[in-house]
This record gives sequence, structure tokens and C-alpha cells, in this order.
Amino acid sequence: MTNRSFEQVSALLDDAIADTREQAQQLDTLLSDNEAQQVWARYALYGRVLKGEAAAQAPADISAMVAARIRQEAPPSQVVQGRFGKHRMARWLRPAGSVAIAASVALVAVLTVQQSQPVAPEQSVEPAFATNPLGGRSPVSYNTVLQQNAPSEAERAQQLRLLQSYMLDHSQQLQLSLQAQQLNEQSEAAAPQKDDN
Amino acid sequence: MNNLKQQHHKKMITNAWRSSITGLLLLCGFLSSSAISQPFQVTDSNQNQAVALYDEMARALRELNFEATLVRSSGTRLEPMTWLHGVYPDGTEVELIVMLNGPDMRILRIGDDTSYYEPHDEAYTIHSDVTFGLLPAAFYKNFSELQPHYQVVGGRGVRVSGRNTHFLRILSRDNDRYHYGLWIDVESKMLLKMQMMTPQGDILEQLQVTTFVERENVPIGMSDVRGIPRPPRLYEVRNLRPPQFNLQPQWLPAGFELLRAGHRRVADSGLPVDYYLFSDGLTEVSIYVGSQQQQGLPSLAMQGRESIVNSTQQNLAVTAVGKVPVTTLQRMVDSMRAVEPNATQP
Repeated sequence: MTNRSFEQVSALLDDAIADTREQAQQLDTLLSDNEAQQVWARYALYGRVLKGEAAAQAPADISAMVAARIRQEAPPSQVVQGRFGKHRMARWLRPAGSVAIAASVALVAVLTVQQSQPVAPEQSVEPAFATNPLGGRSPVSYNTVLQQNAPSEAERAQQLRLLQSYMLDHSQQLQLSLQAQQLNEQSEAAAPQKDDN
Repeated sequence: MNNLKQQHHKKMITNAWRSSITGLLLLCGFLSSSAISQPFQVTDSNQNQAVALYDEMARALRELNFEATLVRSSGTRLEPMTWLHGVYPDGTEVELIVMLNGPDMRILRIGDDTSYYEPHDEAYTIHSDVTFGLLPAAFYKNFSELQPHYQVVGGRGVRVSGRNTHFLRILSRDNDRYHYGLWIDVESKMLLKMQMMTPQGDILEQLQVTTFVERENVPIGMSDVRGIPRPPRLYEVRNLRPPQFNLQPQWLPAGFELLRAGHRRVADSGLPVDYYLFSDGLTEVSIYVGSQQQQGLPSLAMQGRESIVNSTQQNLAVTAVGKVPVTTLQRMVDSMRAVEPNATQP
């Protein structure tokens, strides 16, 4: 479809075509042309949204898509069971919600900033020092340390990996702790019963 | 004698004066608490209203049938996701979160089992009635669980996602923790927006619901999720070894309690460490103690959604991670002391 025909669809929608013959012709095009119908639908939706009439239908569509995709998905148990052996245990848990990736992004940013800009710890950190004195010593010593023996690329990558592994481990432990709390609550609720899982 | 009488008289006068001041103050307090139009006034009635509203939000997160889309932002990172929640007629809760950008990650919670599905890695199930990663687990419980160390303050909400909201602020009683701002739908009591910020007011993480539709029943997208195969349940190694380095923090922010302690290996890197997990009910801090030679990280401190501090204490590498200001972590790390005289050194 050309821009011209988009305009025509738009005009048709706004009832802006004076000539009845042209209007009839436009309607014919619209009814015969698949693409034109989609354009019509989209324009109509824009119009309704602009006038605040559109019902919030988007989530319904998304949920349908989600359902469809879940149905397509291979049954996870089959995929997983076999691979869930001893060797794989170490890697079992990526924090859902991609905590690790987010963390890595933040760390890269911070570390590179520190390399290029000496001094001045984060401003947000300072006011808290005043209220929570830390025994007189500078509490955030990363600037100086990283400055003095500027690590090589490889060392930095290794450090990042290490830091990330702590972050990952932290979120794993939080999940396990949630599970432990749940089990505690349940064993408290039904003390004599044995867990049948 | 006369002198004594005079003194007594004086005392009576001051007492009368004092009680009238108290009366005046009480009256002022009463007047201001009845004037609801003033936000952020921490009066008893405001406090009670705020607590009631928080509890209603916690209930809404458990009981509403809804379909929502939301965006999480921290730093320059944006993560859009869909969030469906419902309750089956038999009372079983079901929740589905789908990440819309990047790897296709989903979290499906049915009742007390939460499964984490990922495209390239092992999926797993955790026995938990809270979906980890979106909201703090405390948001699903009554505020009384957080009561001694946090306070909740009500304020006037603005329009969020096209809806009118109430505003709640969750503040720690000290500056050792992050604060939260919550925008709660007036009608449904659903959480529509959340901000996590430093005590200084810098925003570290935000959740913004972009569309929200309440449904009569479980959303159609989840009507048949009970048929989906669940990945294997994660079991913990029960025979935890006790800590070996015997270095423990002597200072904790008020309300933090030890949840777990043991000697284990850090995920991924495999470093052997003493591990301690502390929680105040809303946020958690992990502390790792290990060999300095093996770890080899410089002293560093980074503040963010998760802060991290690494430092050397008594020739051991001490690392702390958690959603608290970096100063809090640093103070905990600096307070690490040997707890037993015959602590074994590597």
C-alpha cells in the first residue's frame, strides 16, 4: 500500500471524503484488500485510544500468546531430568529475573568508571557516613586500591566473574532460604506428619 | 518551713503549667491527625491507615485475578514482563511471570511450588509460596512482620497507569537500609508502582505496571497451566559443615538475625567459604569468609540494587552482598572478629 492509500483509509475513517462515488470506491478497496483492512483496524484503534475509548485489550492478547507459547514448549521435565545429574548440580541455578546479568552490567560500569576517574566516592554514600561514623577510617577504599595496581584486562575479567559469583550465590541462597522457611512453616503447622515429598 | 512551702507552691505551679502544655500538645495532635489532607504526618491514625493499606496490598497480591504488564528499571536497564495472577476455585494460587526481552525466562507458581523455566539452563522448582525476584517476599505478608524496624507512612498518591493511587513509604528507623515507595490502586489495592531508594533518596530500582486488568476468574492464559510438567524440585544438602574460620560480624543493623551459617562452596567460582545469611524480614545480607590467597580480590565497595563489599579482615577475605547501603555492608565487614580463641587459620 502506498502513502496515498493510507491517507485514503484515514480519510474514510474520519468520514472526510465528500464525494460519495469516491467513498464507495474506497469502501470497495477496503473490503477487497487485506492489507487495507489491517490499516483500517489500526487507524480505528488509534482513534479510539486517542478518544480514550479503547478498552485495555492488550493484556488479553498477550496472555493468549503466552498460553500458546507455553503449549509449544517442550515438556521441561523430559529435557531436564536427564541432565540434572551430579555434574550439572553446580550450575543448577541462574537467578530468575536475571540478577546476575544485571549485576554484571552494573559492575562493569562501576569498575570502568573507577579506572578513569580517581577520587570522589559516590555522593550518595557520603551523607550516610556522617550519621554512621565508621571509626574514622575511609570506608570505601576501592578507588585507591584499584588505582595503585591497575589490573590487566584478564585480571579484571576474572575479578568481575568472582564478584558475579558472589551475587549469584547470594540469590541462590535467598531462594533456598525461602524454601527452608516454607518447610519450617509447614512442619510447624503439621508437626507429627512426615513430609511425603 | 516557710521556704519549703514556697518551694512546694512553686512546684505546683510548674506542674499545672506542664499539664496544660501537655493538654495543648494533645489537642494539636488530635487536630492534625483529623486533618487528613496533610501527607507525611506520622500520627497514630495515619500510621494505622498506612498499615491497613499495606496489609490490603499484601492480600490483593495473593487474591486478585489479574493480567498485567510491567517494566522493571534499574540504572540504564529496562526489563518488560507480563504478570498474570489468579486463584482457582479450590483456593490454589497461580502466578506466571514472563520476561519479554532477552532470554525467554518464565516463573510459574502454583500453590506452594514455584518453577523457574529458562531456555538454555536447567529449570528447577522451589518449594515456596512466593515468587522470588519480582517483589520482596515481605510484601506478601502483613506489615506487623516488619513492625519494629520499619515504619510505613501514608501520603497522597498520584495517577499511575491511568488509575488513582494511594502512596505508601516504607522507611527504616535508621539509615542502614533502603527505603521503598509504593503506589497502590485505590480501587483494587493492587501494587502499581514501586521504587527502592537509598536513605538519601537516590532511586536504585523501579517497577512500573503499564497495563492492569482485573478479571472475574483466573486469566485465560493460565487456565490450563496445571497440566504443564514441572521441573525437578531442588533439594539442599542437609549435612551442612559448620563454619571453619570462626570470623563473625559483631555489628548488625537492628533487627537483623542469622538465618543460616555453614561452610560451603560459592556457586560458579567454587571458592570454599564460611557462609552467613542475615535478614531483617524485608532484606537480606550474605557474608562470605574465605582464604585471601585463593580469592585475591582488592578491597572494594559498590552500591547498587545489590551492594557488594570486599575487604580483608584478619588475613581472611570477607565479602558481603545485599540490598542495603554500601556503608551498612562495610560496617558489618569491619566488625568481623574471631569468635573462638582456637579459630583455625588456613
